[in-house]
Amino acid sequence: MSDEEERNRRLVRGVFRPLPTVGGGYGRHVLERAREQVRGQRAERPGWVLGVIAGALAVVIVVTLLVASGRVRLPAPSPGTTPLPSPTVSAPDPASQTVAYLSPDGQAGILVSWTGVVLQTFNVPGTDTQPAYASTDGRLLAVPDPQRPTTTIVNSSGDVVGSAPYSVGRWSKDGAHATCSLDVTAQGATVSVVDLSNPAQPRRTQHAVTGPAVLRAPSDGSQWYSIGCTVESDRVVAFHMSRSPGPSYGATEIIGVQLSTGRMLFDWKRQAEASPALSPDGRYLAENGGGGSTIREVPGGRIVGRVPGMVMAFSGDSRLVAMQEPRAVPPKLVAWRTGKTIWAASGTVAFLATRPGGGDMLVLSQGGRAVAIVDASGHVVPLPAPPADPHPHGVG
Amino acid sequence: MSPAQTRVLTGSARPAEPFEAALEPLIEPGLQLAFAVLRDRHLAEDAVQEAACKAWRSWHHYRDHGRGVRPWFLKIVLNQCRSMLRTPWWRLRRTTEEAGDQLVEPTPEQLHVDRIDLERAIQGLDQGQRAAVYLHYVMDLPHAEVAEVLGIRAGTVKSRLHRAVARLRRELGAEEAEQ
Repeated sequence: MSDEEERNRRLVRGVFRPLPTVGGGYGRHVLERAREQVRGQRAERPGWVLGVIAGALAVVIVVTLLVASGRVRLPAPSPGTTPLPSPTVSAPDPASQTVAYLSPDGQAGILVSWTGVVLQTFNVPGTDTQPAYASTDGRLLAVPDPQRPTTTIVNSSGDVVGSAPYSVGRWSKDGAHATCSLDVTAQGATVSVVDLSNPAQPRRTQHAVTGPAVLRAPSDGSQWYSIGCTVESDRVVAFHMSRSPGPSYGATEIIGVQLSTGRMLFDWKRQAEASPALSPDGRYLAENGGGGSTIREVPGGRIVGRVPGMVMAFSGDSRLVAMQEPRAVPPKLVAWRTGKTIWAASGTVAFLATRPGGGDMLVLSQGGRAVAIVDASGHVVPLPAPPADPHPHGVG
Repeated sequence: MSPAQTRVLTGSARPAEPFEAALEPLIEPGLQLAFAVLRDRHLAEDAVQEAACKAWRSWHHYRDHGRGVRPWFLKIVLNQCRSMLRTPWWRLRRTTEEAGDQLVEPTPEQLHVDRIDLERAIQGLDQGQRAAVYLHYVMDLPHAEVAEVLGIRAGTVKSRLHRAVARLRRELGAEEAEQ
């Protein structure tokens, strides 16, 4: 083999990796299904079936002719008789009418309404090295201690309103004042929910994660990452990513766990996909693999949509996705069921927050020079720049 | 490698062999070929499943002309991929991709910038080029067998490979891709 041929081989193999692999028995399963499918089709093809089809066609033609001639009137369809499957949109909670964005060090922030009115600017104490994380409505901030596993809770006036002797995890995506975390150790996994509706008295509940798979920290140093949780849908979703860049770099397993029991709802093995995204209502998961994203219902896994790019986040009502295509920048907001582009950014942006139950998104432009709200129709409301060079607290 | 795999990969499988024994070792290569062309795991699985159905339907027509089952089945997989590429959903996807052919600037959320770059390079090849480079450089099929799968002449395979590799090098820079 010539040197050039070998160079070409290395180049192509580098580009096409990782290739999907299948477990033992997959090939047999595919062929058995093929055999059953073909046999089923043959069995369903007797002459009387063709007769029934021909008869049905004749009836349709006759009815169509009668309707066209005005001799028969069909009843008008009543509203809602053929509902299209669509995400449930809950009435927005008054608390979800606000959102906050912060400076890179987490020491300063702005609370705004989703209509673009600045309500408050505030300081966040004690965050020299560790960024604070705002709740979905921006009213509470969790400030982790960089030295110890403790968390201070601050309100949007900058007042300390509570603390917890542990890391509280991530805010629930549905707007609730609650956080969740999934901790995976060599001994096992635990799911935790912290109720912060009364931040002065955080209430934590924990459950060991149970079956069907045993969840333990891998010995190779790779980690589990939480995609997010919603207490309303009672689930947290996480994915396992291999340790270092290479052929298997990416999400290789995605799991969902019921918050109230610790029961594992699903366990999907994957081939090094990019990070998945969970909708704020906990109903949909966008899996980013290859050149596109597959949107599935969770926990069932039924495919309900596909978009040609990588989904970074869902809108609060789950109708839109913030996505980026492999060959197309800037990112944009797309109605994933129809493929319609709602808004395209003019440069690189980060999607900071979503409005619970709505289609609005808080967007940070490249370098943090501008912050804006983009509504569900693509209308943009500019907001004041963050107090300092911003650090994106991306949609999680 | 199992005896069945050996038989199939060396091209000595006969029509008289059971369908499953001949095709089973080819399901994974078929899936990988479909993935190389479609760039979507789920679609690739659909393509292979449908290809397996078509293979089963036409199994009694299969005649081994000394080349084995592999090119025959991979050709069915590739034809199924082509069929899927003609669907309305795929046209929408393709149109959207071509409309936004700009430089990629990574966003802070983008965990896998390198993956996006590789995808961009692969998307720059047409489906025939993707299939050709995958079959020859990843599966190590000789030019003649690649030609049979693609339904083109061996000389055309060579020129297609040359153009595809040149394009990949332009997109990525050869040194970076070979690392």
